[in-house]
Amino acid sequence: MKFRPVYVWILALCLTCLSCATTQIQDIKPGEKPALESDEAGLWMMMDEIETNLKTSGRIEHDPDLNAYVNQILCKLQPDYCNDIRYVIVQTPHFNASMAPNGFMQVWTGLMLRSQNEAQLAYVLGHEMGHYQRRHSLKQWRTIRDTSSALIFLQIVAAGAGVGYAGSIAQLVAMAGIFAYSRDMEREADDIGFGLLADAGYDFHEAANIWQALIEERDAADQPDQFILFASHPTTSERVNTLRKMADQLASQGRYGESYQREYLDATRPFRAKWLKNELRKRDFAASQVVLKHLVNTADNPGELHFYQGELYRMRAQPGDAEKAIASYQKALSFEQYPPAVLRSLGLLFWKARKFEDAQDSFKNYLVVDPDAPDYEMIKSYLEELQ
Amino acid sequence: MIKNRGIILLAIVFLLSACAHYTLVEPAKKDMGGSYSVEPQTAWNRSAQGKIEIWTIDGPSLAAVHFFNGIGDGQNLFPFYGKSTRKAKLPKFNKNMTASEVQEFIVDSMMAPYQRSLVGPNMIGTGVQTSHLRPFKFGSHPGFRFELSFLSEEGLEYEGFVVGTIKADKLYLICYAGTREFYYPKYKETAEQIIASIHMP
Repeated sequence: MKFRPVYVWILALCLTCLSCATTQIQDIKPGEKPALESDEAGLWMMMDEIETNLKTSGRIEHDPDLNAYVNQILCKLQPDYCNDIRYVIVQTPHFNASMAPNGFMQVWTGLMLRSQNEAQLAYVLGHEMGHYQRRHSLKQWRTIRDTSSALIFLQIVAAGAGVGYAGSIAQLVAMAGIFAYSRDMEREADDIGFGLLADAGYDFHEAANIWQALIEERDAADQPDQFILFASHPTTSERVNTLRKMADQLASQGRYGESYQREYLDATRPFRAKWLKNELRKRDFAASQVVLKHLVNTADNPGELHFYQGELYRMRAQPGDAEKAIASYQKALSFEQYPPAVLRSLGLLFWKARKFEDAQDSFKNYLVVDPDAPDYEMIKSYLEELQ
Repeated sequence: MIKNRGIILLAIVFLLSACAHYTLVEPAKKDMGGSYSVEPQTAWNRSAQGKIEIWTIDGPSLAAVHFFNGIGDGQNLFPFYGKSTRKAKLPKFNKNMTASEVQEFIVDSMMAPYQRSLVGPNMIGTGVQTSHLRPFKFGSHPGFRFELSFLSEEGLEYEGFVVGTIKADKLYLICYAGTREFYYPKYKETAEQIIASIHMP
């Protein structure tokens, strides 16, 4: 059934007629569904429509292994709520995750690229589950219902549900930011996420580490206002310090956990090249440099990481970047495994630098290393031109 | 209330102005901005926005040929509206690009975050894949060709191909794309015939 935006307005009238602002909101219980006559049921209905639309979007990552991996993290964090939470992995190169009131979660690939281990991703997922458990979106809805913000809220939902939720990143951002929670709610979600992380046996120090890395990236960025997560999750040094203190306190009690970095790198390695390419397409090279720096520190598949470091320099194309790119490509080639495209990029830069023999060598090697290259005939024509 | 009416009227005017106006392209020799010509064998519906012409028969979201007639050095592929700071982050054409770099420029433009394009929806996509980049004679001028596939934001599968050349520091492209099911194959031969008829001295 096609969702019609007019339903949203009818629903809005119903929601505003219902009296429930004065009732105490309890945590949602495992398997609990809102009463049909409640405003919460109305919120769930809207989000169900959006969920249906988003699941057919071209941006969804459907790989079964990656989805199974994320699912096992969620179930490890909160086994009792495992059947209540549904999620999609959205191919979008920004750091974000969001939780809708009906238990539908978005996990963006930009978050997965930036997480350096399973514990970091688990902390963010646990934080979002905290919003669900505490019914923060319902509380937030009741706060905005009587204000002009309610109109904006419903316009966003109508646009999202009526014309295709994932019509653009801008819409995704708008939807993810509908429930811009209060600082108290964020603190609550931080506490819950931290508790879930520690109880599931993860290294709880990673909670502060992922926020810290994100702050570092924001401070380096050309356009800090493009950091979507900060719109709904004000990340401050205070929050990082609080999480560090909580971690130190647990550690002093003899508690410890695992970061599960190896497991995380194994699960995400097949997708990293695609995510990195999309990251560079943002063309916020200063911020992407921070992301790459953290990835290079993992020393996981370094040939690929140094190739993308070279790609960053080549695409940025500032004075001196061509030389830096060539050095990065050559570093990539020093490892046993590297993407064949290193040789093509190297050949192109040598060609532009009028180092024709080096260009020929690189192009020839490219065709040898990747005889099925999708641009084999074009590179062969470059070689003919160079001769 | 008066203010609201004004906003509604403005919105209607904006929406009407955003509608594409089509004219008929007869099956005869057609000059493309004075730079080259093509000779279609069937009639097409044509709309134009700046340096971009869109030819379609059943509708641009189903299958269309896009003609990019002379993208200049430092220009974006698609017309853009939105925050200028975001425009600064969009890929720009460089007159010294190789065919490999032009292919990258096209794919990056199609996938650019925050892209808002005035051209047909079948030139904006996610997961753009390219294959078989090879030399191609754009009329008598050396150029390139590659095939591509992608998904629309709504998840519809598209296929297409691109031919192009750089002449006098300007980029000329012809892109045909349509839904993988039915429409791409329906007009593929017709589109192939158009590019076979390119006359660029």
